[in-house]
Amino acid sequence: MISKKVILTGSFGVGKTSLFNKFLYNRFSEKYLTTIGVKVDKRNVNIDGNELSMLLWDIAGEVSQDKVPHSYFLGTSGIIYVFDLTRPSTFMNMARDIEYLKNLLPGVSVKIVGNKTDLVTPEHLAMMELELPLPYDILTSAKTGDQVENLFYALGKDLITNAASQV
Amino acid sequence: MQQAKSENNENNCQELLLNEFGEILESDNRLFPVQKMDNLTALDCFPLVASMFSSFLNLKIGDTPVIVPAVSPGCHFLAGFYDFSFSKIGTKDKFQIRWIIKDCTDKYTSLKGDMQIHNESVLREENDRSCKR
Repeated sequence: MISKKVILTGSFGVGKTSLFNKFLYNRFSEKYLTTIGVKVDKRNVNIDGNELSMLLWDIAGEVSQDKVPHSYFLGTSGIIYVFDLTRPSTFMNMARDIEYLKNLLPGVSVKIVGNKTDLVTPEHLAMMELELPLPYDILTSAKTGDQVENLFYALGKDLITNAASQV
Repeated sequence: MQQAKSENNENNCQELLLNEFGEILESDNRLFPVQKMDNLTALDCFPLVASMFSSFLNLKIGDTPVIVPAVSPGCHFLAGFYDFSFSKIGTKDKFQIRWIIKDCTDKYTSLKGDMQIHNESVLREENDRSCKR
């Protein structure tokens, strides 16, 4: 089985822990609880016949990625960059953050995720898309579970493809 | 191990030595007895260690330790917050991974309380601003 480290990152309050809990334990809480430091857990998934152990890091939200301890990124293969569709402050620094992460981790797979679709209307989404510095990869709702599995499976697929190309 | 103990003689630290497979060779058991790991390796019990272990194997003897701060291990036998430190010791041919676990639960619990208040306040302000728009 292939093992890959994946980090959930982004500003605070965007729903990183909610996505982590939904994917790993099928659990959601309305109450906002700040994450301190890092919590790690794993889930084994089968992607197109390939067994993959996803080692997921849920880290404390930072308004800028250069504030995250460097050691957290050691050995990372995949990054899920989460922003909150209802809070422009969480995607204003996105372009700079993604550039920073790609420089720090060349070749890493990155998924840009807009979370909290349950809180926005299609009209709001259309307006928000015009303001985004970079295009998103997927929109999710940790609350309803919408697209959460698809997010992790899409990233898993990239990780398996990358691993195969490195052999 | 004896030398390491003298360097880390605080009661809030535990030191473990791992082989190249993540199996525990020695532990001073000051925070938890390794028997609670049911003969599993550090990689099996701690997904964080599993996710970084290949990087530790690539360290050189004498490299600066890798410090991973504010870890919430999520094990039933190790609740709270800890700073982890990993380094490679021994020789090139016969090495071990030295893992020091430092209990920082009080420090990070206090910080968590402060951050909760701060972040909730920022979220409220942002919400108020967007309602006024």
